[in-house]
Amino acid sequence: MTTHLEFDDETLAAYALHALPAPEHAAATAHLDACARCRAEVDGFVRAAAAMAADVAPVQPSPQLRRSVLDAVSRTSQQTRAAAAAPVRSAPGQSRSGRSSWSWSFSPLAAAAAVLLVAVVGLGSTVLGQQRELEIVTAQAARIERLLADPDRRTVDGPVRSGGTATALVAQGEAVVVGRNLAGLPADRAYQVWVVDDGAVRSGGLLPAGERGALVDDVAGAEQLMLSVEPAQGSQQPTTSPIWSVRI
Amino acid sequence: MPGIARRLRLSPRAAGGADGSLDDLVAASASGNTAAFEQLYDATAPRVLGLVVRVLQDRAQSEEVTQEVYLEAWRTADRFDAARGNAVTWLLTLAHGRAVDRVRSAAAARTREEKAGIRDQNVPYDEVSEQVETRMEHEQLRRCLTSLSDVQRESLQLAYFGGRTYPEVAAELDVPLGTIKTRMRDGLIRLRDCLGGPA
Repeated sequence: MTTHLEFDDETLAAYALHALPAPEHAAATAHLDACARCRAEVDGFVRAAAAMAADVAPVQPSPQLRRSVLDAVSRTSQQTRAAAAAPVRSAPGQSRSGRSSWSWSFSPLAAAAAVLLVAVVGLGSTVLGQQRELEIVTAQAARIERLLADPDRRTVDGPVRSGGTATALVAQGEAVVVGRNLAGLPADRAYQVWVVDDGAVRSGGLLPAGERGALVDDVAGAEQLMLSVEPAQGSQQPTTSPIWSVRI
Repeated sequence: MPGIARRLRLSPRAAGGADGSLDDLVAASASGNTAAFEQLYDATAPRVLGLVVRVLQDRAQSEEVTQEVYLEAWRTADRFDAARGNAVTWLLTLAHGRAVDRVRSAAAARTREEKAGIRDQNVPYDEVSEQVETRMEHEQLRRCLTSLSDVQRESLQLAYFGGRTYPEVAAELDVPLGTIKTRMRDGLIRLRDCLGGPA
């Protein structure tokens, strides 16, 4: 597969060390979500990289930090699949690790695809069975693979005003937008992607929590992509000032 | 196929159970159990903060970043998968990523201390206060690091503790990009294999 030539084990090793520059990092993040073989390889590198931290002296946190963390936690909602989606009937024999094959968080290197699953179900559409979810995710993974394999693929990134960076990978009239180390949002807010096309602004979908990406349709001819903070269910038009924008 | 055959699992701990229970604390946190999360925090925060301080050098900023790490851990606990890596690996990975990002965003405004990422910290390493398990990991790492070549170790440490991208490492060491990537991969493979894979 052409895609795998780009994601050799040298790239995955650098990825595990957080040593890839932002555009390569975003591309690798998106690829990992679609590639079980690379996930298995990167897991070993991640374990080795994390082991380097064993060489570091522990530092006792201040009592203020503890209070601050636990206080913030008590006010923070969690992103669970149950919270994000309407209840889904679980298929017999569906293992947890099978379910998380597209959702394991390895932040800030977390997997990027499958955001539309959350968005689709979150729109209050009919309850989807797990098979249907799997179909959606598989189709998205295939689109992302094609996008990443395109030699004319462009990447553009830029800082997000509220913290972190976001990268857009653009090819074949589609884009993947991946956030990295974005500021956490309250449970009732989300980052929303906007497409600016011939002066008109339309929604490109929501960024899911936890360093994952949004697959944005139909950006052929669009001039810009932007991000803004919106209510968690999304808005028709931006209601707050964009905090990131790139020309594409 | 080697990639598939090499299933990643938790490295077994001689003391038994402690890492298993941290994984359980993450799982419990995923369903909103704040008491479990508190225990997870107490068990792991010194190591997390220690790593962040090592990379960032700045204590105050390190506590800010550590808070972000734990908030993210809380928000995304449901996606933790123990089959792919244990809770400590997961937290340290979150922490490392955020620390590196913070270093890079501050780099333009700050003079980089060239070797700061490699040289030992001025924080004394208190062997006595270490838990038995972390001491074992520490010794194992030290031993495994000696199996790397000097240039492999150097590139890993510059990247990991210095927060450099591989092009930055290549520029600093005046070595071609491809060579740096190879050194990093080879060093990490040696480390991975020395630390041990599946039981």
